[in-house]
Amino acid sequence: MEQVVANGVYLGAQYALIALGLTLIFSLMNVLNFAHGQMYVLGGFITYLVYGRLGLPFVLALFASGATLAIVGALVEKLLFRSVIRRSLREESTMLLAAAIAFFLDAVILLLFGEKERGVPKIVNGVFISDALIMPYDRILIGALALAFILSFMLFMQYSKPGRAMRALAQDRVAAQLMGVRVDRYSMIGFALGAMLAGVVGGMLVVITGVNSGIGGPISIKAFMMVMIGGAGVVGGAIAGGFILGMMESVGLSVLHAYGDITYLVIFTALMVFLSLRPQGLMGKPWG
Amino acid sequence: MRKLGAAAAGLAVLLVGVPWAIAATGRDDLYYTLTSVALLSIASAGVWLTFFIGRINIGQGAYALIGGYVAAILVVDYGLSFWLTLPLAGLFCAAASILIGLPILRLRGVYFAMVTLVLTEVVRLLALALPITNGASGMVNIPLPGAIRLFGITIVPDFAKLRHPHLAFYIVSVLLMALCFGGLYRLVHSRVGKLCRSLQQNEELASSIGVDIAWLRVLAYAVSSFLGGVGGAVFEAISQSIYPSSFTVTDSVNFMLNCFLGGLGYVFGPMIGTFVLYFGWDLLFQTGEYQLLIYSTLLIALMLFLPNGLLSLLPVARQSET
Amino acid sequence: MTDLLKVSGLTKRFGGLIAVNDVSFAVQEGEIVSIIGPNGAGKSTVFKLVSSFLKPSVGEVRLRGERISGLAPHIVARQGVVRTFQETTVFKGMTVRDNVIIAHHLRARAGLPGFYLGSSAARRDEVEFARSADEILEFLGLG
Repeated sequence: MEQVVANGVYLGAQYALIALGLTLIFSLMNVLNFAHGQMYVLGGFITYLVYGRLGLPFVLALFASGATLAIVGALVEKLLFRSVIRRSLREESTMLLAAAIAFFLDAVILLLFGEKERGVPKIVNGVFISDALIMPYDRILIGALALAFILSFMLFMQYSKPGRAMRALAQDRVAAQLMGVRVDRYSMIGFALGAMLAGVVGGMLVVITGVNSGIGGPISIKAFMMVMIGGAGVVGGAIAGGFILGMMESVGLSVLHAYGDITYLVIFTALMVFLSLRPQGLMGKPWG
Repeated sequence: MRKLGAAAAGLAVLLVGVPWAIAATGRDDLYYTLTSVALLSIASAGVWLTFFIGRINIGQGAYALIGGYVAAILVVDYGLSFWLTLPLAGLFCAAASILIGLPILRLRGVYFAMVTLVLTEVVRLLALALPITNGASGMVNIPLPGAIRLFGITIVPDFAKLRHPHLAFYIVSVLLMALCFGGLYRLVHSRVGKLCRSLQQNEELASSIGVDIAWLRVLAYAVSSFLGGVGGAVFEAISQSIYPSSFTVTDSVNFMLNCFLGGLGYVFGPMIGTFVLYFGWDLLFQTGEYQLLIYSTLLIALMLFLPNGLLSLLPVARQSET
Repeated sequence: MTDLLKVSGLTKRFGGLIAVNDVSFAVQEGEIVSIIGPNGAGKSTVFKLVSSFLKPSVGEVRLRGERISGLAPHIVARQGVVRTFQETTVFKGMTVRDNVIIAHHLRARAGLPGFYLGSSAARRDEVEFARSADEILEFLGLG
């Protein structure tokens, strides 16, 4: 039982970070970043390069992943989204752009890193064994790291100037502008931050589960689901959604294991029913 | 009257001109490509219709899959003629979509989109899990469509006996596409179309003037899903097989992209969009490993220059406004 | 004689906020009744409740003795209780003329299939609506 919970918490922390990045971008720009999963994969591959192939310290590799994705995110917002949002008649056009960017990143990743699954050496060896649960040390470390990131993110959003600016922008764009918040600059920062989070999680998980080019799409879908469960555009919702999905996966994989691969069928159907009854998710604002 | 003439001319080009050109150049492989474009544009038209009532539909792949399976099961397990299963598959999808649509059509924007995204996956997983769909091995060796005979006269020949079933499938698909877009055109330009537009633009206001918005939404979604099911059923007939992976989330996204590219404000948008995206992807096959890179770069470039779709290049007078 | 419109004990709660608290009034045929109050008093909410765009937490609305609160807004509109909007609300994507034409929706005698197929009833409706719309626009100097 504790094993299931521990796995759920560990998974949940990772998922929460992914969901946070996605929800940040959504709250600032009303854009669902279809390419979020690809950004995760890119982060994973960069860490693989820096830590796995070049042998540099893991922390440096994580930093490289985060920085690269932050730059990618900033460029994507500044060069692509800004122009399209301004000129399109319907807001759904941004979805096409996001999907095209997802394809583009998929292509780049395939070309640069190939199709093979990549792994890296463990960052710390050994396994924690007790009566109740078995947990490899590296998972504990990564889990703790993820929780630390979540906490820093929340503190950043709550107490720092950019964090306040972005929260204001998310709540009321016009009012924020009237208060002097530079919309363009903070949209870019927000997108960069969201992308960075995805990249960092990718880097963290490559040391546990490896990475391959094909998982971008499924990760994006999982991220969307978490954001929907918790409530789009709400930080608390993303965290809740991440942990809930992590927990559901952990429970499902152990409990439903006997019934074959219907874990996700159950999760998806439950999600659809839940959203029909409560479209704003757990903590989201009523839609509109 | 002019429009009818233009439509007839277009149909003549497609049904007579194209086969003649293909026979002349010997490019028989083009039949499959063009037939696919026609069928995919029907499914995309369904997605377009959901856009028309103001919803983002990324779940059409689910109905294409359902339609394909229903047609296959009816033909293989119950021995029905394909021509009967075609509308039945569509109707089954429409019925399913009414059940699904009633709760979810209340959602708007990205919320609705996300639920439909999940829908495609759910159907795929169902296809894997249910015994009637034969799980991961799918259904294969599905017989080709049979003949339709009325009063002893063969109206449609037995496909299994044809020397060129590709041409026959092409003709069927083009006719279905013409029916689909003709019907859609009529819808958009009739009062029903105006009511749908009112839904799209302001649901509350529409409600206050007496429009039954819940009913209209469900109706549009049902027609939408019907089109998806029909597309899937014909695909199944051509490939004579259907698998859980025949239509995936990627296909659902592609149907949506086809609509976007052509232009959401234009009835023929999905047709143009499907044509360009499908042919574009096919042509780029020559570039080998750079196919996806060039494809996506072109898409991005297109979005930067024409954020409102390809048909926005047309002079304003010829557009049907959204 | 039954009141044309009777509102009894109308209350609406949004979570912890009570927007409308036990409002009751009646309107007779031919009467014009105004609801006035300061900002935030709940006037818009009362109108939304009467026209059935919101469901009351407590209380009911009756039209000619029949309960209408809780019915779908378009049904209530068809019965004659129509809401206009506080801020100018139009169908922005349509022409002014189309806006006026579509507002005739409640007077349509043909049904949806009729309009799609172009039945004679539908065509008569279209002609009638267009004529009426042009009249209205002319009257308002917008023709």
